[in-house]
Amino acid sequence: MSDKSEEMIEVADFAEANELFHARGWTDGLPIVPPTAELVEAMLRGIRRDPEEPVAAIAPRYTVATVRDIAINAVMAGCRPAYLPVVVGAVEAAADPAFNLNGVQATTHVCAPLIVINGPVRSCLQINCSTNCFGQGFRANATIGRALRLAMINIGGGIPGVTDKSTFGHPGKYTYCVGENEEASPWEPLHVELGYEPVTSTVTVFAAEAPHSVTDHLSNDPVGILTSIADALSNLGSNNMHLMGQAFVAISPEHARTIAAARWGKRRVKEFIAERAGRKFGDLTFHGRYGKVYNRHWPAWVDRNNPEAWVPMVESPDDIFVIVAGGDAGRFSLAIPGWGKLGSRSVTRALPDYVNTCEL
Amino acid sequence: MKVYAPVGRQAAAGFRAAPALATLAGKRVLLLDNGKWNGGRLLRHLGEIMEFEVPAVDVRIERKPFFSRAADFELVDRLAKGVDAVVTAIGD
Repeated sequence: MSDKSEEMIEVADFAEANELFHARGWTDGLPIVPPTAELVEAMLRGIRRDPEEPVAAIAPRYTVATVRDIAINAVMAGCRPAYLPVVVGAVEAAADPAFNLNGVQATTHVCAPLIVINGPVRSCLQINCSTNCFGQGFRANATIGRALRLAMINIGGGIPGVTDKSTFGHPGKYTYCVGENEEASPWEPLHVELGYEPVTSTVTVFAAEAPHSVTDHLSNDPVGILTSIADALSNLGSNNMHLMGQAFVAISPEHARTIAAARWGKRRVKEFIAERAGRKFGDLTFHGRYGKVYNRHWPAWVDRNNPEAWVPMVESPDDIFVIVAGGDAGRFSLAIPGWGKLGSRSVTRALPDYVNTCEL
Repeated sequence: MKVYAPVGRQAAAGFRAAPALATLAGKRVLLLDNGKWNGGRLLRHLGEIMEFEVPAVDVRIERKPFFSRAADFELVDRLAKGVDAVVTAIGD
């Protein structure tokens, strides 16, 4: 728990600050930028909010984070001040009860908050939506995701082995932030699909496994590509297959062009994936090898006495979120399973505090 | 140089744990199932053992609606007023 008497700590230099922060468990294992008063004040100039304003209670500790508290962690992550509104938006979205941050922080599953950014803020902040967008090399992607994780560790108390019981974790627990490649998409972007104006910038958080690559260099129509994606989502070890819930799909520009050339809109894409993502009851239950299986997460109408009965992965096409992302070259897409129906739901927030300047 | 501690500045609310019971005999014990299938099985088995071995113990089971979410305040209040001990289990 926080100690109000230790709001500011005296350290000799950068090295001592890092050793202290590592010793106290205040890092993600990587070096941090020491959050001096000067750097935190500079960070706070990136947002139009009172620094002492409470933003959200961050589970599992449920400490209430102020704008300043989040700015401190954003400095540590290496953010530019202009990124702070996105970080604050991501914290707010993650703290939404629908996201269930308490569970996401504590689960033995491998999920981590995936941040998807839409709207004009992407170009202003140079958020990578294209080649290698889930990888390294772009400061905004790297540090925005990292700032959310640091806030989850330091303010929320998500400590590996103590409150964070993830069996494996995954690299996205360092940072997991991407922009949708709206410019390469033949369809409406995610935020427009969800009811926002195209000129509104939004942040979406989703409790996501690591991206699963879907290779399809053979298919030259939507049926093949989307069947490959549906199959990747609904493999035998898929958490979604056992707990249903929501899943994300990132379709590459090459695959998206092929699908759109056949005049398939986004709704049809989602419906096709929702139809094809599933498995037979017998396969899922190893044909009774381990006894009778009911699984209350699956729909009640599934005939549990019939090994050939189809078990769908999702209840509705609305549970499949489709974005276009990635570089222009490469017939790959990504299947990104989620945590499950009773676990967590995707949450999207507009970014009204986004300071529309690229000079910060 | 001075640096901020990054842990938030909300003061921790103090609380004291309830004193441990000297015995379960004659007590009301709630087994709180968190909704995970194996956790519930473990608790039901524990309940059977308690009823067999502990004199006059009153055992009942309740289930939390979602395994990964904290029990809501209404449930916690009800538990605090109506029972002497609560046992939970986490079972995947």
